[in-house]
Amino acid sequence: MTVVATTPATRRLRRGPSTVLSTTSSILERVAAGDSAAVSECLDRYGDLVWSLARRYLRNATDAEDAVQDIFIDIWGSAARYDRNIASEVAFISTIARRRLIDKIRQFERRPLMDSLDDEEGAPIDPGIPATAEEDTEVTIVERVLAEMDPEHQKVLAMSLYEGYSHSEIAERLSLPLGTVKTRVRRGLIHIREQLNITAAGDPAEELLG
Amino acid sequence: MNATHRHDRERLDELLADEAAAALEAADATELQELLARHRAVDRDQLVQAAALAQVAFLRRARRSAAAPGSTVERMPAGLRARLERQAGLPAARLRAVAPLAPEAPRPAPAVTPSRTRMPASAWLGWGLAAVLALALVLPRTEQSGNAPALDLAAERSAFVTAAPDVVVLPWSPPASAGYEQVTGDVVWSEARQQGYLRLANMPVNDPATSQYQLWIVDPERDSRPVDGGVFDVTSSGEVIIPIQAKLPVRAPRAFAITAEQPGGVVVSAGPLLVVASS
Repeated sequence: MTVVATTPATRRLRRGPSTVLSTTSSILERVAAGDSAAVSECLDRYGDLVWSLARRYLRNATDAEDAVQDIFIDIWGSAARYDRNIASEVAFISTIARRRLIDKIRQFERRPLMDSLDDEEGAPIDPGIPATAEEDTEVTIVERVLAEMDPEHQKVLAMSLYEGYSHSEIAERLSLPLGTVKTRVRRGLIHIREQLNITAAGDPAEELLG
Repeated sequence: MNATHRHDRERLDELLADEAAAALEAADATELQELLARHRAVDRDQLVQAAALAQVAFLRRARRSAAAPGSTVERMPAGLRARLERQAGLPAARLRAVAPLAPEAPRPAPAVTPSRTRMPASAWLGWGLAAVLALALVLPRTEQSGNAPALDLAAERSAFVTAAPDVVVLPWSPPASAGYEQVTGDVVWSEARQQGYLRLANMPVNDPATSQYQLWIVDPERDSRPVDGGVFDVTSSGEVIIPIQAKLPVRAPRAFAITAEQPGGVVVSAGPLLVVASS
């Protein structure tokens, strides 16, 4: 994998173009270029993922549809900014989705009350995550980071990021001081960010993948 | 790196992590903005991206741990998908023309813990202008004409005002841009019907070959970005009635604003707001 040198202040996950992508425009690049077929492909590949993310946070279907509509409008409008050397499409799209869902939570002045990972019952949600190696790389890195994390810290992170509980709700449910919850979420996120950067910059396995 | 700088960066990381976790306290939002202003090289999206990828990783884990027998796959509703395809269905030439005009997506306001505090309309107007400047909606646009059967539209508007139970009436209010000070009239809107009309008198006539008017709806309860209200022409000097064609559902509009744009409208407007009606 080619590593693009960046200053420490602006360092972020940088990806070199893979042999596949270097000869084929990505879906987002084609959306930005006005390829209408790419819109359908984008919805085919990422529609269910974005829908699943929205449904985790917004159990009301109308609110979720509203949010997904906003997210994809944002994606169409931002496609020209997509840079495959910086992030995968799934990272780009899920980041836009998260930004917009956070906005929605604020607008609706409520937080979702989700089932915990341990208590999930009923129909599981298939997030429709793309399964290509290119798209999988970053998610796999994060999965590994989470798996290596202290289970208690991982639990707090899951409740915050996946289940959508507020810090105070987590503190109450886990009988932890609020400050401890805040610290664990902050450190967890910063650790994930560092691992994404470090892996992209120097993991031999990534070199092989690229 | 001196101690103050290091402390700033550590604190900035904390607040950005709070933002990424949708847990930024309202009281910390100002501090975050100040720190971002002092550290412009910091990439605000990094921790949001980390949180987003963690969310996807947790989703994938949930899928793996789910019992396969009887599991159902949650798919995007077909109706929603059809709407999205229609909304993105701009002709290729327009998409290409639009793309270079959106160099940077608008920075969302910090995501703060929900607060009951409402911003005054004037604040939303200011924000609305900024949002209009950076608007990156890609939507098909339906042109309307101010020349349309004015009497019919006037009658339609009157009937609407009488019949709709929740009509709000917002007059065009000063200050307007130069050349638009004499504009009078109002906006009527019904949330229940998702319908409304502009009434404009003394609005300068536009030449549709060179420019068209475009309506924007500022609805902070719905979204942090204004909603595209459609493109229209004013081709006579008298009173014109323009039906509002909001491209997305509008909940509680705080302001309506009109800009002059290139024919067909724009997705990224350079403003200015010519006339504004606000609650």
